[in-house]
Amino acid sequence: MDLRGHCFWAVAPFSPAPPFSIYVEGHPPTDVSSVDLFVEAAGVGNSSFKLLTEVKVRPVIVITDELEPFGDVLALRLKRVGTISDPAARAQVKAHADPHLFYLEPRGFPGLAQENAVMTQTLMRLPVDALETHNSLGSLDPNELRVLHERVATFNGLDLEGLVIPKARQLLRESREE
Amino acid sequence: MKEKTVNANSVRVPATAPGEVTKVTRYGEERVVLIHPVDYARLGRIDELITEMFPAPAEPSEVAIEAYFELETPGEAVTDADTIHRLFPS
Repeated sequence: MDLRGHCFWAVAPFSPAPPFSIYVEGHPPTDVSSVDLFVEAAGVGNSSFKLLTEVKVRPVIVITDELEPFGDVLALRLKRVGTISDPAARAQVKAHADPHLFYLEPRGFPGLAQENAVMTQTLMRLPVDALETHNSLGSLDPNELRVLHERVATFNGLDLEGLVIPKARQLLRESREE
Repeated sequence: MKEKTVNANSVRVPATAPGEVTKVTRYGEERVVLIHPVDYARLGRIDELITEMFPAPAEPSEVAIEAYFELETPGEAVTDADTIHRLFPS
């Protein structure tokens, strides 16, 4: 199954941030507020620790197929449209006018109980095993997925000029030859 | 793009000419844009060309695969209380 564009339940972690909560065997966790102490520890040969990281079970939109052979996908989190308190902002999202919240047409997502929008700023890499892939909650059509890819590239400031310009030149050449 | 065909008897649309676009608005908002079938075919061809020009992602090299699994596999984590409290004194 091509996972691109599908929405699945996932166990999605929050990125660890200070204070880092370190697991200590048989003791309460230790909180460390600075990266500096980790760097010092790595300097004396201790670079692997177990952190206590919060995860949330949530639906996500997968924007790639499984990245072989790594077994990962890129995915984005969702925002429930009903939780946007400002009616004008909510209307803007539903009109596809907010570039950071990509509105999911409910007809394409029968498995989602409420209206949702994809948060284009929440790009994360997840193992396929962290997704409930046997139960798609719905999917984007190829055109919607293309728009979402454009928005993710734009939000993250990815410089695609070197990729796009040669392709544009090729396109021009081919259209002149037709 | 998903195509939908509507019989001309069931709608009233103005005639279109190649190279011409007619915007249908309601309360100042664009609702529908009409273009000539010749232009539609040309846009479709451009869309196909763009799709063809961006091939599937390249396969990672053996070295890249090895590096990924080497660096993405957790090592032996330090969980011992004495070591951790020494490294991270409170």
